[in-house]
Formats: sequence, C-alpha cells, structure tokens
Amino acid sequence: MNLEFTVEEKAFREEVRTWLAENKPSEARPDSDDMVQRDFDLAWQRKLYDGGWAGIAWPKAYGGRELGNIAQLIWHEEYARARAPWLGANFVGINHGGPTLIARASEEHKAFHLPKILKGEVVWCQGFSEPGSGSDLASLSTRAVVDGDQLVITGQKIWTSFAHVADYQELLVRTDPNAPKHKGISWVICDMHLPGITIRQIPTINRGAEFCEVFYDEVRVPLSNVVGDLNDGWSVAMSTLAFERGTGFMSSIIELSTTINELIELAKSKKMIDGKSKYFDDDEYRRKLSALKAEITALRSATYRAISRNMRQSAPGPEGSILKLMLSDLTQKLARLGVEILGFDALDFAGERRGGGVSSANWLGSFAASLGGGTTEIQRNIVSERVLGMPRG
Amino acid sequence: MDLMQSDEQNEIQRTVAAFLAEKMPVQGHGHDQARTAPEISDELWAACCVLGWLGLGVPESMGGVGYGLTEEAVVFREIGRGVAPGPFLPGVLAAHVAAAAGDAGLVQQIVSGEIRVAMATPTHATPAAQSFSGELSLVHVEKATHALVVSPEGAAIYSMDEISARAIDAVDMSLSIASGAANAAKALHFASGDAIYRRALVLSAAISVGLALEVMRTAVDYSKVREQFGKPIGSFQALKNYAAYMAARCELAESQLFFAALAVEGNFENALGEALTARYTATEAARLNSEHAIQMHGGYGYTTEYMPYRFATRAHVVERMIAVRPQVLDELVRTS
Repeated sequence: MNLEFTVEEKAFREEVRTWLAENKPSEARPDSDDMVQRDFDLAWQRKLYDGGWAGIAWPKAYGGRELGNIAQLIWHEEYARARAPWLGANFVGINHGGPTLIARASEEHKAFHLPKILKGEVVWCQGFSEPGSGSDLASLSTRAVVDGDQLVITGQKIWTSFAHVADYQELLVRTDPNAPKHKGISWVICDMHLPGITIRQIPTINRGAEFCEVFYDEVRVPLSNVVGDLNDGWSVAMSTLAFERGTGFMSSIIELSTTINELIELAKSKKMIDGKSKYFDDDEYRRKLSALKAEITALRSATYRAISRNMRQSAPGPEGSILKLMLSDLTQKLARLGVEILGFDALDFAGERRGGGVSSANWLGSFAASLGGGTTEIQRNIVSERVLGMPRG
Repeated sequence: MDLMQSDEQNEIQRTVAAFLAEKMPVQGHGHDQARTAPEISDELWAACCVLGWLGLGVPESMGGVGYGLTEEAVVFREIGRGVAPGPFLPGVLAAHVAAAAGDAGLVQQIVSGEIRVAMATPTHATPAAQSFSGELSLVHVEKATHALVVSPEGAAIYSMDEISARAIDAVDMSLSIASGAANAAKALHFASGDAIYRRALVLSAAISVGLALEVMRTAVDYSKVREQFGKPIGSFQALKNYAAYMAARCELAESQLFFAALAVEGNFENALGEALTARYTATEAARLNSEHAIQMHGGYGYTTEYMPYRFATRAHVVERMIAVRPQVLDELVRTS
C-alpha cells in the first residue's frame, strides 16, 4: 500500500491544473434559455477537445485521451477544485452513449458518431426508462417492428434529460414481445429530429428544464442503426456498467469535499437565531458538520480503494455500488444541513449561490441523487446480493 | 497510489487470523454472567508476544520487527475481528513511547510480554504530562504494572504503583476494567507531540474496523440460513437494507483506515485529520453494525449464546478508549 503519486503523475496534475486555470469558462453555466445552455455546454466540450481533454477515458484509437485510473482521478480532483463546469448536455454522449458505441458499434457508426461527440458538435440523450419501466427497466414496452430495412417505433420514454436539445438518442426498444424480457430488447441509435417524435419538457422541483418525456408515433429508423444484434440490446446497454461502477462518480464524490468545506466556512460566520453565536460554535451543529466531513472524507478514501481494486481486475466489481449508495446519501445529508444553516436565507430559492454550493435550489436538486442512475433501493439490493451474497427476494 | 494489501501484508493477516481462530475463538458467555477467568492466560499472552505482535512496528534497532503502521493496522483489524482479549493496544503504543525515549530495555520487557501495560484514558481530557493528576478509565488493567496515557499533547507511561485503581464490573465481560486516579504520578517516559496519539487513533480504528467486518459477517451468514415465511430472512429487503449499509460502513471505514495509516506513516500535512476521520468512521461502523446485527439475529441476538453482543460490548469499550466521540469530532472539524 502507498499513497504516493509518481513523478509523471505529479507532472500530469500540474499540466491539468494549469490548463483548467487558463481555459475554464469565466462565466457560470447559464440557467436561462435551453439553446443558450446547449451552446455553452457544446462550446466547453469543443474547448476540451481542442485542449486534448475530450473523452479522457476513451481509447486513443477513437480520439480519446485513454487516461489510466489514477490519471482520471487526478483529472477529476483538479476539475472539482477548479470548479470547472458540469458537462451538462454532453454527459450522455461522453459518459454513456459514446462508450457504448466504442464497446459494441460497427466501425461505420463509430467513425460517424464518435468525433461529433468529442468535438461538441452533437448532443446525445438516453431513452431507457418508461412510465411503466423504472427500476424494472427490462420490462420496457416501447415497440419496434421490422419493416424491410427499417424499424418502426411506437411508444414513450421518460426522464430523458436534454431530449429537447438532443440530436441523437441511445434508445432501448422491444423488438421481440414473445421472448423473455431480457431477450427481446434492441439498442438503437435514434435521430431526434425524425418525424413522429414529440418531446414534452417536465418541470422539476429544482426548477430545472432539462427533464423530458419523448413520444414515438411510428418513427422510422434504419435497421442498420441497431447496435449489437437485434434482440441483444440488454447486453449492449449493460456494457457501460463497468464505467458506472468504476470511476463514473469520482467527480461528484470529490465535489462533496469542496462543498462541506464551504459549508463549514459558512457556519463560522453565520449567526444563529440569537443573533450572536455562530453555528460553528454550537456543539450540535459543529459536530454534525464534523461527522459529515468525516463520512465524505472516508468516501474519498473508498474511491481511492476502488481505483486500486480496479487496477487489479479486468472489470470493476459490484463494490462500486457502495460508492453510488453513499454518494447519494451524503449528497442529501449535506444539502439538508446546508439549508438548516442558511436559516431564513433558505427561503430564497437560489440566493446568491445560483449554480451549486449551499442553497435551497441545491437541496431540492439533491433529491435526484437517490433516484437517477439506479435508485438507492436498487443499489442496496446490488450490495446485499452481489457483494454479500444474500438471497434474491 | 495503491490502497490494496501487498502479498506480505496478506500473509501477516493470515497468520494472525489463523492463530486467533485456533487459540482464542470468539465464544459466548452463556450462563456465565460474571467475569471469572483471567482476561488472557499467561501462556496465551506469551505465545502472542513470541509471534512478535507487540513489536511489529518498532524499529529493529530498538528490538522490534521493523514494519510500519500499516502492518500494525492489519494485525489490529484481526484482533478486532476476533474480539481478542489482552492488552495489545496499550502494549504496542507503550513500546513506541519507550522506543522514542531510547529505552531498549523497557521495549524488550513490553514486547516480550514480561510486563503488561493498561490503557488509561483521562475521563476529563487531562493531557498526558511529566506529572499527571486526574481521574482515569483503565482497560486491560489485569496484571498491568504500567499504564499508558495518550493525548494530543503527548503520551506517557506511568507505574501502576502511582495509580489507585478500583476494578469495575466490566460491560465487556472478557475485559478487565477499572476506574482510577493519580495524584502527581511521575512519568517513566513522556513523548511530547501527537505522534503516539495519531498512531493510537489509527490502531483503535483498526480494532473497530475488524469488529464491524466480523459482526456483519455473522449477521449476513445467519440471515442466509434462518428461515421464516418459508424463505431465508436474508431475502427480505428490510434486512438487505441493514446489510447494505453495514457493507458500506465497512468499505468506507476500512478504506479510510489504510488511507490514514499511510498518511500518518508518511507524516502528511493532514495526517491528524485523516487519523481522526478513521477513528470516527470506524467506531461508528462497529457500533452501528453490531446494533443492526443484534436486530438481524432476532431474539437470539438478545442472548449470550449468540455472538453479536460480544462485538457490541467491545465496540462500546473501544469507543471510550483514548478519546470519546465528541472530542474526536471537535478535533476533526478543526483539521483542514
């Protein structure tokens, strides 16, 4: 065991730190107009591309940086420290759709799509969940019927972030309704500008506007847009699981450390209801802050250990679900404690802290942490069944 | 950067675990509700000392084995897993105090098991000093000739002759505990600074991590075989929720334990903060995991014929050694 970074790794950290300091946008991510936001996200992606930082985890053969686990850790640590912008509309393309194409798509699809994602020319979204298929994703019922060299798609998807500004979608459809539920699904590249697609934005409790539902009325997609084999879409969708269990949450975990330190600083200046004593001087609040800081620090250590473990095995194990579970819990605890310390300032939705940090907007946004990317209940099942070997219900 | 154990560290772990499983298996007290047997027999204590457990991290030049804090943490995690009796923690820490003072003779007496040291925790956070006056909580006090006080300001070894100790009915029936007091007790050795304190935080955290891991294993194993409503109770989501958080606490606390061990060993800038974090997360994991393990065992968890109470009571004691929860939290939040 050791905690040392090599000379090369230290030099790499310097390189990242310098580049981010010189290149990260000076203005915050806009929260007004959808297209303005899309433009901001894509411009940042283009800047990352020009700097050689697009797709840090992608193979070099497909234009990525192909950083190892430790270099990715360094990147995310510096990214969080620099408070560089959230990937926003680029998230699915870079972290899910793109890696899936790399793992399973034809060379033709890869050559067409991957450079566009890396250069920030297109936005991808994810069409997985449906109104009737949430945690039980494999029960999805959006139908796709083969008609000559086309698939005709009819149905509905939901919780599709950025669908309203997206160009492409990684879409799961049922191509064989008679097969067992995992065996009749196909993974399709869907052009979001096709006729028959209707998009409705769903307002969210943190006043976000990126959440959408998507309706498909006999949408015709070329059969050649199926990635992997027809009816083998479940395994295609699962091929990026390794990413999610590996280093996918690293940046959010590191960001928690920054936010708890900000909150501790706030507690040192913020006066309690008596108008005199500070929150930090109150035993109860100080110790709550301390306990939370401890848990967040330990989650960082667990991330380091997950990386160490990943370096010794070909695919990340189910232990990664522990990171996701605790990230969700701690994100919510931190947001909750934040609004408690804000006192009456918490009545202002975002206050002066729009765009992150400690605010009621952040508290409302934190409810997503235990819902998105697999609910907390599902993560607990994964941990108890696959890490501890408890019997399935 | 690598937080996984080396082959050599795995080997140390295996050796210690095998010895403890054979010589001191975890047992329930059954109807024997008061401590009668000694905390640890002379033969067993001597056998552990022969294996070099007490001098593992002491430099070879001072008569130790010359490993680091990380290897010591590996050993103490097994001591926790086995809920082992015996004054291992104060012994190892006192050996470091003696080594720092250049007293090879005392190091030798401690690591050979010739003398035993009790863990003395000031009940009002009185710092260790050349001369100590104050009330103490003494654990592993049986046959102890010396007592060790560890505080952020320094660590000191005192003779038990200068401490008045009154044995109490120990909450953990496998341990000897006393309440005591000293009036101007003179330190045999006093090591100024927080080096021993950091080590004590990490090693007590290691015991707690071992407790948390093993009590989780007993509860999870039990949930796989105990059947109700025609199926193993471990298939019910309510129990899985307990178990998932047990595993999460273990993973975080164990990762933090080794992060802290390395940070303290490498004298990192925030080594104290890392050690306090390890101590806090590990003691929480041990306490909460043993509480949930009792619940998962149903009525059996309430008996001294099943093991969860052994872990719960030991966790309870470790949480009150060296420093208590509010102290740990108050120091932690002030580190960077």
